[in-house]
Amino acid sequence: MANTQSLSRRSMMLRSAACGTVMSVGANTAVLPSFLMGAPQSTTENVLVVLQLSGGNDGLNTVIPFDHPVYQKNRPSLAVGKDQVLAIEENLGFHPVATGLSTLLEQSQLSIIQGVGYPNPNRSHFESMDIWHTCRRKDAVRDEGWIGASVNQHLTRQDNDTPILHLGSEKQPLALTATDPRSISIRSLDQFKLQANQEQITSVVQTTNSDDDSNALLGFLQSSTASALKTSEQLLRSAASKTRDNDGAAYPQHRLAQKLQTIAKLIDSPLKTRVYYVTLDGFDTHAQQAGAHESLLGQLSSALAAFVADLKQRQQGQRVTTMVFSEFGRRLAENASKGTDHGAAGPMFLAGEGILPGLIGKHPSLTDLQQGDLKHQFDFRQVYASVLQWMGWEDDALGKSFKPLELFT
Amino acid sequence: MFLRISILFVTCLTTGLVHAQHDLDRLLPATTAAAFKINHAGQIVDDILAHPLVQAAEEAGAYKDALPEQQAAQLNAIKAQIKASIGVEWNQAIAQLTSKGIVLAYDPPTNGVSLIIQGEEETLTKVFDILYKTIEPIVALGGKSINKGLYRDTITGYQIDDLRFALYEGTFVMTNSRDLGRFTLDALLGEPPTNTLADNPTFQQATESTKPNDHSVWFWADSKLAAQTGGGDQLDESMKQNMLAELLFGGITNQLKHSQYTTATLDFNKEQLRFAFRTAHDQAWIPERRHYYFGADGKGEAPPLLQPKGTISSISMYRDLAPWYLLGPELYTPEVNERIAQADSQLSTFLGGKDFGEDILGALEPGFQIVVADTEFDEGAPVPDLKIPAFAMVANLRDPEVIKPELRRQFINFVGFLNLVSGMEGGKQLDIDIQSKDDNVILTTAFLKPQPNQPVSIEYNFTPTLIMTDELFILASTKALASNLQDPKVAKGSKANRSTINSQFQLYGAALKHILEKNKEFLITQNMLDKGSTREQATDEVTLILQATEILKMLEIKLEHTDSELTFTFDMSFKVE
Amino acid sequence: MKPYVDPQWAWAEFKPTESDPWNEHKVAHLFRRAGFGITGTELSNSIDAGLSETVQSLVHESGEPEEFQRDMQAMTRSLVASSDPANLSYGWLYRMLKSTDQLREKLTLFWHGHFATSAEKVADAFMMQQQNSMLRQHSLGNFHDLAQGISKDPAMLLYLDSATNRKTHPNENFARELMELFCLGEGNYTETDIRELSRCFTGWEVRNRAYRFNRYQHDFNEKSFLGASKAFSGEEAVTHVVAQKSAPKFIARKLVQYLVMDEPLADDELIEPLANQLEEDDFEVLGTIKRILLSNLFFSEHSYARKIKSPVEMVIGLMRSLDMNTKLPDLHRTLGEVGQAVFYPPNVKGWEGGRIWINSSTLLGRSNLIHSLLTTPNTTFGGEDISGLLASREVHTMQQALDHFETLLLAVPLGSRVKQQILSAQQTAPSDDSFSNLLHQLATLPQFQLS
Repeated sequence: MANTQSLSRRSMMLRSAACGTVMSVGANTAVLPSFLMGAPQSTTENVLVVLQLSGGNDGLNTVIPFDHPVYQKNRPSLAVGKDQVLAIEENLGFHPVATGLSTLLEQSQLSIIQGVGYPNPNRSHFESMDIWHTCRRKDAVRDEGWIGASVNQHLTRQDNDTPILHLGSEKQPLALTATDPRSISIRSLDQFKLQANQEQITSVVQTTNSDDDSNALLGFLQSSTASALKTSEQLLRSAASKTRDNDGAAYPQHRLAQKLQTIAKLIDSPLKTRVYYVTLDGFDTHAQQAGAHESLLGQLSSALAAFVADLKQRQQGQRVTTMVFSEFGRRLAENASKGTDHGAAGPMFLAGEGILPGLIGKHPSLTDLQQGDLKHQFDFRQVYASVLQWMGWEDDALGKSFKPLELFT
Repeated sequence: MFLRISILFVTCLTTGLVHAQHDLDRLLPATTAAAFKINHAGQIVDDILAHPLVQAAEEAGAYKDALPEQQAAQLNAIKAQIKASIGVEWNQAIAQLTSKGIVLAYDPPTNGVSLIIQGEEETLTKVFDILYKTIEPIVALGGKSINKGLYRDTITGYQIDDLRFALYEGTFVMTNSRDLGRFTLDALLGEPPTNTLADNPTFQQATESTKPNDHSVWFWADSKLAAQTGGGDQLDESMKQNMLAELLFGGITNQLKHSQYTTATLDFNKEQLRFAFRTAHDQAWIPERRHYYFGADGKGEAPPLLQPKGTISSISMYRDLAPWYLLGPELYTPEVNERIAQADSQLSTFLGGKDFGEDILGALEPGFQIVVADTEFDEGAPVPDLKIPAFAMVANLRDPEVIKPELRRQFINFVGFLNLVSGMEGGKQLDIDIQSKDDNVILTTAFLKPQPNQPVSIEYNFTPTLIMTDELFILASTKALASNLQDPKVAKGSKANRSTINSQFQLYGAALKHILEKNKEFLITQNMLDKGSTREQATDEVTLILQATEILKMLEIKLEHTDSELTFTFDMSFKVE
Repeated sequence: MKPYVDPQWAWAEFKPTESDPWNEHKVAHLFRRAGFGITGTELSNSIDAGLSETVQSLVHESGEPEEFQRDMQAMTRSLVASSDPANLSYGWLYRMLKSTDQLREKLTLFWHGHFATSAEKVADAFMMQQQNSMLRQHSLGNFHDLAQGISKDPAMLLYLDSATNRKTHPNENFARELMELFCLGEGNYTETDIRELSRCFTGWEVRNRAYRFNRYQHDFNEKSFLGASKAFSGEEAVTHVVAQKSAPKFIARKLVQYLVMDEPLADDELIEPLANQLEEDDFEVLGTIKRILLSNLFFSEHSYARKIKSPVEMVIGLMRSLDMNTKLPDLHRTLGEVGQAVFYPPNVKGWEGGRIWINSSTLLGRSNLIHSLLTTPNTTFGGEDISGLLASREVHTMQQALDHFETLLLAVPLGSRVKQQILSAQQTAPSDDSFSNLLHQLATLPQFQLS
């Protein structure tokens, strides 16, 4: 299975120091400056989009066991009835607002992994989210996230582009951090477009190649600049022309949808980013849950459906998978304020054309509970393991071995 | 500078000499839909030039870049030419040319626009001659000619393409419509046609309170015009997306849709600038969802403006806050409603399950005041470097016996919540002090004293306090302001006869300057960082700005209404040496 | 395959000759590295003064005038009063731009990245300013003083989660970073050293924003680490760590990377002379810095254009060269977007620099930053527009402007072919817009990113 290289922080730093010295020699040996050969790097590798639902999504009101008497009894005001749900199978249905998710399921582009959690569930937002991000509990050293660590392990710094892109104005998620951080946070696509003088600069940069190869840094800068300009040009062109190539797909008008639309454009550009990360906040519905949860699920559902459709239309659908998770589910019983409190296991979703669609696993039992919460049947790290495998990566970042689930075709 | 240029431009248009006594409502047909008049243009120009604010701005060199050199030179050349030909300075020239007013009007049936200028016959004649001789060759160059004709054997009329103009005694008329022009000329000749503007009923209604000759600038429009452009609907749409806009202006949009007229006036002299906007008003036009604004019976009156010691600004409004919040589905877009739902969910968490709209907002009578006042620190209390003015909200409680204990608990919960959150982040804690006498409740909080060597940070501006006495509800950012508000002086109000004041705002320049002065260090630093200037340069600039602030005596914004008319005024008074 | 550099030659004093004279290129290089860019006046004065006088002036005679210091104190005080650490960032940009003591500011920035502490976590303006002042005070002084100062700095302790350190469960985080990141570098200590060292700091706490020694929590027993055993106090422990052989090497290597070349990383042999000097000087850094700035290696092909400008260097350098002023709060925000928000380093390793500054997003970000800097109405050039400034420098045509910019701003000469290409790509006659566009295009070239 996986090569258990113990990548301590110490060895990570030595590696990056070594890379610095090695590259200065390596670049000299190119026959032609690399930017003249066009972008040799391919943009066909798999891309993961992580959509984090912050606050603890109420899985029971997302994928609903609507006719189970225990469900109805425990949620006198919050239970969703048979006549409202969007059917998934005989005893399960989506919240009525999640029409997008329902459509994706019908099109075999959505999988619902049921009952995901971890042993000894922690019900604190910060702690549980940290566990999801680092795959470790509080007593272990937690200075790297599973995505940051995986990227550092598998992608060298030769690629000029940032491998991980976090889109949003909130603080960068722990999952992306690493001792040698290589993720960036951006707020909008404008940060990838040159605001002026694109043509002049491009024409000048092409002629400023020095025949003198002795300055490795200059060579590096030249190829990086050329690559950056190419990305900018592509994005500017696609923004200017209103063809099928770009804003063709119809996205709803809210922030999450706009972020996903931006990501779709970036995926469809020469940018070689492998992981994108966005969050949707507000799921901590302790009181008056119905309205708030409906609004959030509506955003999730409509944005995700538009995103998958857009990717398909850009012919990127096969290489992109979106993974949706939350740091915990919520309790079976509703509380006195018409809301629910922190729970344990909940569903995860995968969306895309390369996934194995449908329900994965059984719905957690509503009678066999632990401290009033749903028990998990899959450890979230199993899902991570499958995803890492699909990305073509080892699973060292998870800490130990976890049996991956069959989630991809 | 801009005003200078535009007035000058208008002057250059002046060519008429005719001297007439007729008012605009006799010179225009009843079908006129909009009219605009400037009275005493000359006086206005003088007042602007002499105004202390303009003087201050010129001193600070604000106009240096407004006009590039070439154009400034051209302007000076024109001024010189005028002086040479007429014998008076350019601003005096304006005064004479337009001594009876400048009128611009629009008549939909003829699609005609008319410009009428009335002034001193002699000056008008001279200027007309000069400009006519200047224009003639230019027009010829363009391949056109000025046609002359005699109208009714008395008035010489001129025409270039569609543009017609004429002068008679002290009046100059220029228009693009033959019929409109003739109407005016007939009136000037003393044979008023039937149905002048004076006979128009909506015009009469509008000018009951707003006579064209009473103001520096006057504007009137028949509202069918506004309805055509759809401005009212657009306004309504934007209210739907913004709760604050709805709270402030929601009640006005309906009148704009139904009213037969709108008028706007501007009064200007050295000591005052007053802008007023009026439209017809009828309670029947207000839909039920907006009853929170004027009251269900349309008689909601704002409580008097409070003026405790050191007031910087004072606001008073009649609004029933609970329906404004609870009627979300009817008042706002779905997106806004979603955000309200989320906010509700979060607020309930620390309101202990109570509903913000129904329980908290619903506890207050409509009609509340907000005050912003100077900082005041107790003896021995820590004084922060950056001084934030104190602010407070005052209202009456609907059901004092029931609600007071409830609000008391909420306030204590809220302080506890703040302390928890700030404690986790290592911030400062609020100490709470509770006093009750009979039913009256005083809850004050204060931050714990800082360590001796530590700077006094911004939090020490705040000692949040809640006072509830009988029906009075006072929530203030400082204890001092809260106690001053228990027995404040009330500001001198001013209202038109029989009118009800719905909303009112006053800002006092001296007090504003005072608080800015207290923070002068900070302003200087801000200036240095924004402009990269040295401390000396920054100090000079800030001093100038503070001086300019003092020129403003008071700014008042008011919304009031009678049974039939709604008036919005914006009033600035200046301190003149 | 790394080119061999003779250490003795490297650090010997550079002597200008006929074939390798003291010229504009060298002056600009010196000022870019020892400060933040160069002004026209500095350029001409330094050519006249010669190498050693110029370095002497930079190192010893550029102290800030008293009035400026007082102004900065007043400014800092009001910034701290606002309780928002971001304001401190604006103040520091102002200081970097206006200070006459450029070397000190450059080194303060170096130490800020070395002893990284982020206001994101330590959200307190007072503490962050205290740290910054301490770093500035010792930036050209004694590294041992710096180490002692930083180990008791409340902001640093909070940042490293070491605001409490209990006897029964010593906090290893600070001990690890002290050795790994601050003084010795990876591989020069063992895990046991970390454990023992952390016992020396037990009882070190932060209370009410100040350092406090809690004797009840302090472990007064003997500790053994880095080859010595005794009942070390925290201060003695710091002294012992700094006294290790690996410490001067570690610092010397970092100084060489910061001042001389991003890559390759200097090996032990190359930095030996500098490490020895640091030891002899009792860890006073000024002598070593001066030696670096006067050295053969510094004035050689190994160093010219062998560093990538950090975002702050790039912008402040540009602004100094063209006597620019702008709205600094906005500038700080855009600098953050390209990776360098002062007072907010991304993590405890600070800003690694070199190639790490560069990726598609930051390259485009740098270009856009400069474009908005040049076009915003808040920016002035010596109080006027760019054409006004250039006119006062006798620069009237596009050709002259290009030459002028090249001299002041580029570490790599462009060559006539490239310059022709650039000029022919300009469409219009000289004006504010066309000068701005020219400068913007120049600033997007790969050559511009090199220091």
